[in-house]
Amino acid sequence: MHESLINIRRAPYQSLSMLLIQVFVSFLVLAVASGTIFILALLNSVESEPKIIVYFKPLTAEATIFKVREYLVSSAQIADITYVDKMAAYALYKEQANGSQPLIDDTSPDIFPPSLEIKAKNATYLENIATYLQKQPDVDEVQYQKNTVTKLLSITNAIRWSIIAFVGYLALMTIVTLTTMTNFKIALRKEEIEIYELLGATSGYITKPFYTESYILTTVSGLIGSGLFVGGLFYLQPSLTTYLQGITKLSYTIYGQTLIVWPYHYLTVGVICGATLLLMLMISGVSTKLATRKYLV
Amino acid sequence: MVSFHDVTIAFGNGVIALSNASFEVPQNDFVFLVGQSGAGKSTILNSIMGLHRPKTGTIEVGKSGTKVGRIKGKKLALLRQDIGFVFQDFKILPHKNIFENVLVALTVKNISPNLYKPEVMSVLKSVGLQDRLYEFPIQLSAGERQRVAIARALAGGRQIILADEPTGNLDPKTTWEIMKIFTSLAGQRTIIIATHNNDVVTSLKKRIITLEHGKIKSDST
Repeated sequence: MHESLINIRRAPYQSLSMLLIQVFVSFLVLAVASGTIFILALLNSVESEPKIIVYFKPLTAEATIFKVREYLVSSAQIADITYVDKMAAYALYKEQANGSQPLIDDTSPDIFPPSLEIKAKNATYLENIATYLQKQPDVDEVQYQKNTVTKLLSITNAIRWSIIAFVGYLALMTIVTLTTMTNFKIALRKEEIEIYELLGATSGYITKPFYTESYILTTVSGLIGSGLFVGGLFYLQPSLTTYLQGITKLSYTIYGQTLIVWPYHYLTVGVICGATLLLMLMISGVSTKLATRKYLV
Repeated sequence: MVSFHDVTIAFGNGVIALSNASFEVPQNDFVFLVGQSGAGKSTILNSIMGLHRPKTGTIEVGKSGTKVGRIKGKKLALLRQDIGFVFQDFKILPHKNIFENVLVALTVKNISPNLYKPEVMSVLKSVGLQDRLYEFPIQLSAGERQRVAIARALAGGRQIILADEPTGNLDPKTTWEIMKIFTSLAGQRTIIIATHNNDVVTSLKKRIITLEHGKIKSDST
């Protein structure tokens, strides 16, 4: 560690360049990652709005409908399911008839089909649910906005892939830049490395200080980048609160863990900063390995 | 022990640097390699260090007779950990003080840190620099820098000492001081010195291998 700190001081401009590049990339990745998670959470929230309405044949027994409902609930794909019986449907009809007595007089609850209103946890489940319902013998009609769901899913996927491509490009750019910088450092210490080799230093002994230096610089950069990001969030919070006042809560589920995206939650910010630091450390490790591969026998 | 069996070393441009060389240096022997520039003295030293690989023949180094031409990576590093080198241009690290320069020879060998200071002090005492531990190379004369290089070559119990023109940059008085250090090690380590300095070679009456155009011309004691 002490040796690495001395080496950082011995090549101040290269070290500063590496630090500044990584601060910029960390900040950019944090901003893009958090923006993306926010958009995905927003889309997720919109995606869960579309619902399936399944109408059963008027004479279907309630027990049959409840059996279908139980099956759906047990599938763990359902966010919400509401049973609308004949009486409730008739009440709704009367409300929509707006007091027109002749229309109300000509109808009775028996002609209204019982139905289930279903909201899925994720829009991708809707098609499966609809297919299952269509196969049930007592189902008369299944309604859901297939086009809207497909469009939302396609937008979400496009955003995910765009961000993956952007972060991939940033990672590649950073790897190339850091590799070049590390190569400069190696060139400055070429004679020293030759002496170590002649003294019998192993490749691990020679490359270890370069890895330590890289990880020190990356950790410092990551922390500065995270600091700037968190500072920016605090600074923007009043404006964002006003702008997003209609949205009370947004969350996003990733690998089974639900992150609260809005309002900010310290855990979500911590996870994003931690993941970014981990990504930057991986990038740093790859670039150091590329730069020092000559010594990795 | 160092032994060359019919060794030919050729460079990439086709130049034959050493041709069918055979000789043996027993353990703790003291040998001078002499000859004109380009005769193959440095090539012999470099090939013992594994810097050149023989085109034909074998080079065996150390008690276990490690075949240098066939090893690389960690095995080559381990072999070099038993060899100390001294060059005409000293090859000491300018940003490290005397203590740290010698310490490097121990840290590459993974020697216990508890032994660092006594070992460094011991080898620096043998070259007369035990009171100047924290001075930097820029503060030393050429002779003193070479003494640091010798101390580093001795550190960690390295059994084979290779010196390539160790007195080439030194005045006559300092040359004799340095040679005195080498002769004090005779019988304790295997020492091979490549030199142009005929005065030193003739005065010390040690084994001499004479090279000419990459071939061994004579091998005498």
